[in-house]
Amino acid sequence: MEDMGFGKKLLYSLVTALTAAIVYGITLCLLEKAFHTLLLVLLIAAVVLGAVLLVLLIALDTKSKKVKAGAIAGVSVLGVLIIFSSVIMVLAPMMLFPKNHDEDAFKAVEKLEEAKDNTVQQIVCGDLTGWRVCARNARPEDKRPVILFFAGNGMNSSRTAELLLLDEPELYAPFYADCDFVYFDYPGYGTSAGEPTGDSLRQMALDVFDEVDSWSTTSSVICFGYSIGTGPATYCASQREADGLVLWAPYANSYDVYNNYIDVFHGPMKLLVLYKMDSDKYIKDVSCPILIMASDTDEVIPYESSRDLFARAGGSSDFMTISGIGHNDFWVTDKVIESTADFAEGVA
Amino acid sequence: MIDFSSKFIKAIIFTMILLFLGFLVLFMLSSSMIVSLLMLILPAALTILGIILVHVPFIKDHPWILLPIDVVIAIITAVIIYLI
Repeated sequence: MEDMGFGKKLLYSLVTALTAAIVYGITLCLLEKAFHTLLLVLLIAAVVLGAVLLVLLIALDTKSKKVKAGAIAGVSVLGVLIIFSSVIMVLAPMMLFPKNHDEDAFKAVEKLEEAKDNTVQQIVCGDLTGWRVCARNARPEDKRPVILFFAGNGMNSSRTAELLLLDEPELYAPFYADCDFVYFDYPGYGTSAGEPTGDSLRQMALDVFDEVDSWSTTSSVICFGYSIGTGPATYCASQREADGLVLWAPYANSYDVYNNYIDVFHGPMKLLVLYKMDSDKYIKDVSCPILIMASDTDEVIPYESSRDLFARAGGSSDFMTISGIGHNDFWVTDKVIESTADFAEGVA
Repeated sequence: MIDFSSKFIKAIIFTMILLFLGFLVLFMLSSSMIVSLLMLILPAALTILGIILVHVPFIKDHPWILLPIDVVIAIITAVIIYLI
């Protein structure tokens, strides 16, 4: 080391420090289970690109410096793009669908079900499970409308049922006074099997609609979507004979949702969007009455995206701006809950 | 005769830079500010530490020791950040 000049010492220190930074990254990824796939993708992509550079350097050994520099620059740009795309493609769905299950809430709602007083029932549709909060003012054999709920990405059916029945029964009573409130967990959420993707959510929407529609007590079905759930709700209403469609904080297309998390999905970067849910295309085919509610201060779904969706809706659609509330405040705003219940009562 | 070793080293460094960028993008998008900041601060701080350490008598004669020192610091930092 004594013979080394400052340049070489600096280079040596830089390489060891770079190695350490990579070890730091690998350690953090190993500690976080959710990042294991991403770590694997990243390692494979980097090693393959390194091997490509090595082959290129050997192949261009006899070529001029200009050619070599051009090739290296090309591989470097390509490498950075591939690494960036790999991270985005694996990370975005993870951020979009943080699968969750609340075991405590599940047990609490299960206890209510065991009381057999027609308050709540566990429901199954193929690999999907969920809860049916039964209409309070109806007898078990009575025909009544069903609100079929498609949730936000951070929700699960057990926690929502617990919220409706145990935590805030007064606030949410309008949801299940005369209607059943039905919520199936998305694939991978709660105790539902599968993976949440654009295709699986679309298929799920149709399956659960058909299931609910086949119940002998169902008089009408109102599709109700919140946030990410507005996509499957809109798709479902466009493909089936729903009696109403309620959308809280809807998006026009999945690019708007992705860009809200990572604002890079423009132009060719749109190709990286794996969750395709183009509500703006489906809403044209919705023939039932539609109620859209959006907040001009929503920090998750841009207000403009909701307006854009409304502009494409035909027939009897109504848009309600709820000023000054955040994305999660829809659930604690009386006006939103009452308007939704009134709409459901009107169309049922 | 192709100088394979120098090309191999270039490819290794290229791979490392790509990995570094990948982790940087990942942490900037998904983790807290401190995690992504450390991804930048850590190599800078360790480079400075390395330059200082190569003047320490024992390390001057055994420069390879710098690598395990840096790696151990990185692992400890990652574990502390994870636990926090």
